[in-house]
Amino acid sequence: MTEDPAKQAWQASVEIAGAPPLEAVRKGATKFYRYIWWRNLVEYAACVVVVGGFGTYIFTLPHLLQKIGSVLIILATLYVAWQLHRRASAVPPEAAGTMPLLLFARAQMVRQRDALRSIFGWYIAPFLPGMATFMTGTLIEKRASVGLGPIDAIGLAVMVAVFAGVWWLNQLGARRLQRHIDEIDALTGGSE
Amino acid sequence: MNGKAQQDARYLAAARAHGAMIERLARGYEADPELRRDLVQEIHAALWRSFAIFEGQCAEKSWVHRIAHNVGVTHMMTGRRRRKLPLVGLDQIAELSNGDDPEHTAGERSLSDRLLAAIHRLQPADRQVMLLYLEDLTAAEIGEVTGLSASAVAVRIHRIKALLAEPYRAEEKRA
Repeated sequence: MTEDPAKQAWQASVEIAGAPPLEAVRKGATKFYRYIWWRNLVEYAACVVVVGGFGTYIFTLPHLLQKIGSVLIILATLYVAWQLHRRASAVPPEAAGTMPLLLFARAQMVRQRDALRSIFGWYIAPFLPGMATFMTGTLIEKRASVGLGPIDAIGLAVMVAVFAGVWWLNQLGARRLQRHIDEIDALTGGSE
Repeated sequence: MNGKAQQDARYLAAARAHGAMIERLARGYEADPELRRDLVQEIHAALWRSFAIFEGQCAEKSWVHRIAHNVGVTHMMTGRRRRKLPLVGLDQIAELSNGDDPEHTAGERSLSDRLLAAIHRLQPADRQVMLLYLEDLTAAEIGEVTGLSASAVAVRIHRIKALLAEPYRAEEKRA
C-alpha cells in the first residue's frame, strides 16, 4: 500500500467493486456491433436508393449518353461504398489493448487522415465520368427539345462547386487530424 | 476449457482484480452518476471482448488500463459538448481546490473530491497520467499504458507531485 496521502485518498474513494453479472456484460458487448450493423445498413440503404434511381434512368431516359452515364454512376456508387467500407470501418474498442493508448489513437487518426487526403481519388473522381456523360446527354437532349439557358450554366457551376467544396472540407479535416498527430508525436517522441 | 469459457474466466479474474480501479477511473472521466454507470458497463463489455484477443501482448494490468482508458477517453470526447469549462494541461492547474468548477459544489471537500475536481479539468493525455499515477503505477508502467515518452511521463509526474504537495506547502507557509 502506498504512503502517498493523495494516492491513499484516491484509492480509498472506491475500494471494493465486484465484477458485474456475466450475462449483462455479454449483452453490453454486442452494443458496439449493433451500432455498426445499423450504420452499415444506412449506408447500404443510401446505395440502394442511388442505384435504384439511376437504374430506372437507364430504361426511362431517352438519350444514349444518359443511359451510359447512369450505368457509370451506379458503378461509381458501388465502388465508393466498397471504399467507404474498407477505409472507414470502425475499429472495435477492445483492439485498444494491443498498443499503447496514444499509438492506438494515432493509428486511427492516420487512417482517417489518409482517407480524407485522398478523397479525390476514391470518392470524387469515380463519379466524374458518369456525371459528365449523364450531364452531356441531358444537355444535348434539352437543347434539342426546349433549348439551353443560363440556368444550365448555373447548374453545372453549382455541381462543380459542390465537388470542390467536398474536396476542400476534407482537406481541412485532414489538416486538423495532422495537427493532432503532430501533438501525439511530440508526446511519444515518434513520427511517421 | 474451450475458448469462450477461458475468455469468461480471464475476464472475471481481471474484473475482480481491477473492478475498483475501473470504478475510480470512470469517476475520473464522468461526473454524472447515471452516465458513469453506463461508462463502467461499457468498459466491462470492452474488457470481456478483449480477452478473446489477449495473448499476453503486454502485462495484464497494462492491458486492462489501456482498454479502460480508451473507452473513458472516447466517452469523454463524445460528451465534450456538455462540458462547461475548456480542458487544460497539468501546467495550467495551480492548485487542487477549484471553487470555480461548476461541476462541483464549493466549500470544504475531501482530498479525493479535490483530486477529482482537478482531474475533470485535464485534457486526455494529462488525465491519463494523473489517474495512472494515483493508481500507483510506476513511470515505466505509465509509459507502457499511454505510449508517452519517458521524458514526457517524467515531466508530468513532476507536475503532479508539485500539485499534490501544494496544499502542504501552503499550510507550512501559514504556520
